[in-house]
Amino acid sequence: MSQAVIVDKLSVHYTIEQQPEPIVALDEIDLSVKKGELVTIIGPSGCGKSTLLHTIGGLISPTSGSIHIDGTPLLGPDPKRATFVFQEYTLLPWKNLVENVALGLKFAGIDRASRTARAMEQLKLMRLEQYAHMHPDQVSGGMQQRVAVARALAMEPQLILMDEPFGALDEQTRMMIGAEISRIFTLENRSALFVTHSLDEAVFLADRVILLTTRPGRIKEEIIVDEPRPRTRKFLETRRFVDIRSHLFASLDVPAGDREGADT
Amino acid sequence: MRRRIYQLKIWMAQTAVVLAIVGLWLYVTGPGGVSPLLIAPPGDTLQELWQLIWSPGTWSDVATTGSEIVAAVLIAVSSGFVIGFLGSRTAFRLEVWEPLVALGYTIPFVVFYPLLLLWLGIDEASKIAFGALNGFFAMALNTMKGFKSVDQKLVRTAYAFGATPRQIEWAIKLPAAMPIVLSGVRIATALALITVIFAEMVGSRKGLGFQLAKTTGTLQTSLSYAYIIFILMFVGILHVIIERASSTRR
Amino acid sequence: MHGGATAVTAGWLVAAWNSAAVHRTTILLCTLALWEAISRLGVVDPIFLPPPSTIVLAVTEIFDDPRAVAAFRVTGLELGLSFVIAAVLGLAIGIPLGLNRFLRDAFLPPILFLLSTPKAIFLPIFLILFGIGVDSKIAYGAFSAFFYIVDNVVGGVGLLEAKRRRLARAFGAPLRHYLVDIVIPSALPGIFAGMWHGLRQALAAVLVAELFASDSGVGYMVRIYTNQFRTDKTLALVAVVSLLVIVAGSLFNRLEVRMNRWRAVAHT
Repeated sequence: MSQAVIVDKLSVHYTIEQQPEPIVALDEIDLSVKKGELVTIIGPSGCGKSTLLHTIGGLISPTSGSIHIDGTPLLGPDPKRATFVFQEYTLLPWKNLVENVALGLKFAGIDRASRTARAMEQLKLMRLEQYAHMHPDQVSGGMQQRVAVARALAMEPQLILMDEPFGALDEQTRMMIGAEISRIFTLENRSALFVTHSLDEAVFLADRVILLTTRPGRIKEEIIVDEPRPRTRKFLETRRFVDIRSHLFASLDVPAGDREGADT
Repeated sequence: MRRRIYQLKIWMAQTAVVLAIVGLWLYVTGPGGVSPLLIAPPGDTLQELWQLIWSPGTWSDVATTGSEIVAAVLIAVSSGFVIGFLGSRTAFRLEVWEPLVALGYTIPFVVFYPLLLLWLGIDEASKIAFGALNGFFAMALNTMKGFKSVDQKLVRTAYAFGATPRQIEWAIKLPAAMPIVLSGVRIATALALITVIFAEMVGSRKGLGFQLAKTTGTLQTSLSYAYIIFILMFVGILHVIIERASSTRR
Repeated sequence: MHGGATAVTAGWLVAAWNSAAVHRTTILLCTLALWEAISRLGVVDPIFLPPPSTIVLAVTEIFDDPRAVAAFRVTGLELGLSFVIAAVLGLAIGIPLGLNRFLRDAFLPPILFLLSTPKAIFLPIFLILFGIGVDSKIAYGAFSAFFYIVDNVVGGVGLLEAKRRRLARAFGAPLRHYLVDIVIPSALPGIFAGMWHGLRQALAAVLVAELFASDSGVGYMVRIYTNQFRTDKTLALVAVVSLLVIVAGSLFNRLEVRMNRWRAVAHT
């Protein structure tokens, strides 16, 4: 399998007013995602996992290091190569669901007929086609986030970057959408980097879990989740799932009394 | 350090725009060949402004305009507060009176000035009435909005602690309504100030507005420009005073 | 039977007494009646303050006066043009100021200062430059309305949330789409408020300029009628203009509610 993205010695430093030493948010991160692979990133809150994702997508310029997607360097946001699904769904309330899904295609200059057709296809994949002409405030939060996923998929990008996309949803909805994502991404052979703070989500979705440390943000550990996709809820009850989850929990090494950030 | 550089950049951008305007002004009145009757040259304007500042007549005009503004503001603020206060004692009274006052606020009162001139004559009374009329509605409306905005939980708590109705009005509701009432004072003052000066321009025998209109009518363009700058400075100082006076309590 | 009818009447009266709208109407009618009375009974000279009934008659009279009809047309034209100029300039300058912190920090304070000054003092500049006719009214009206529109547009664009900016960047929005699909819809409440304030301000400014020096327009007619001691006609002009403003205001409110419906739904 070829590589969808290669991240090489990526560092991000911040300077803050009245503080002479720069803060090292990310320190020489090496990482790659194969074509069709789903990699989740987990770590304590404030470990820079969102910063890592935003940097890989070109929203933050790295202090040093490089990002290559499909062999060519990425120097700024390029939605055809790497597309985001944000934690806040950020749908535009004045557009209906198809128009929202077609937003990136519209920005890319694709004509109305073909972008609507492509957006409808994505909505069908998400089983949302009957809501196509509703507005975001008329549908539930879970549906809104599925629309945001469809908006990213419509770009047919080499890599999908998901920044705690289901963080605002309740546990039930979250697992349901997780299974849905697992199905669609497998079906479409999509590569994705998925940031989460939920251990269950991280293990359930991933081919590989990457564990990040806090300041400086470094990769502490990588764990392969060797279970064929798409997965169903039954996987949650298997011995292997529970073992990986406990291992990760121990690795997170959260001091007692400060565990709420690591698990939900 | 970065903040100071940012401040410096802002200052430079502002200076650049001011210089561009002054440059354009110098150009059109100099090499541009526009008649000094149409656009007064900067030099002449400054000279006239300098003479204006040292002429005793100017300061008597300042006194006239200033006293008219003060009288208009006092009338607008006090009457507006009384009406606004009475109109907001109960939720029902508010429902009756607020739309009426809001309606009054939308009427373009500028067109009333010739009538006020007719009724009250060309001297101070017509200017004061005009300024007061224009400021009144803003003050009354803001007073009502201020009392309307008072959190009822505050009032209930006060009752629970045994406050008398009078204490509730003056010690609880009034301070809570104060920020919006004070913003009413600022708006009313700005409106009274604007309208008094305009009234002087349209019909009067003294005051800064009158002098400005007179110099315009006689095509003393550079003197007219000097008056504009002088009034801007006068207004700027008044704004600083009002800002200080109406924000001390916060 | 009789008792039932009384109860129904009484119930209706109680309902009327408890209605704020009935109170308001009563207050307005009483004011008009009092005005009519003091004017008719000669408490004040009807030449100075004509009774409302005379003013109503005068309204029909001024619409028969071709000069007055022409005046409304002139003022309408001045208002329309000055508003359009102010709106275009206000958006063209307000949107960049709203989007860019540096531009805003540098140039919003002077705009706010000019917003709070009596703009009438700049009238002489416009009159000398553009003459006594409609040109000076249009220029001065646009000048006055501009500051109100910029202030509100900047405020409206300021409502654009960081997450929408990030969305536009991440999805590679070209400038034109960024403005049309994201910035302007987000700023719509502010833009609407700005347009309404701007329109009102342009009207006030045009009237002010006409009152100060003019050879046509409603403000000019106010001066003519007042000089002829036709207070009834002056007040009739005032009444018509006020009525137009009130009607325009309610139309604007309705339009705003329509255009912001998605926002209202989102907040309930």
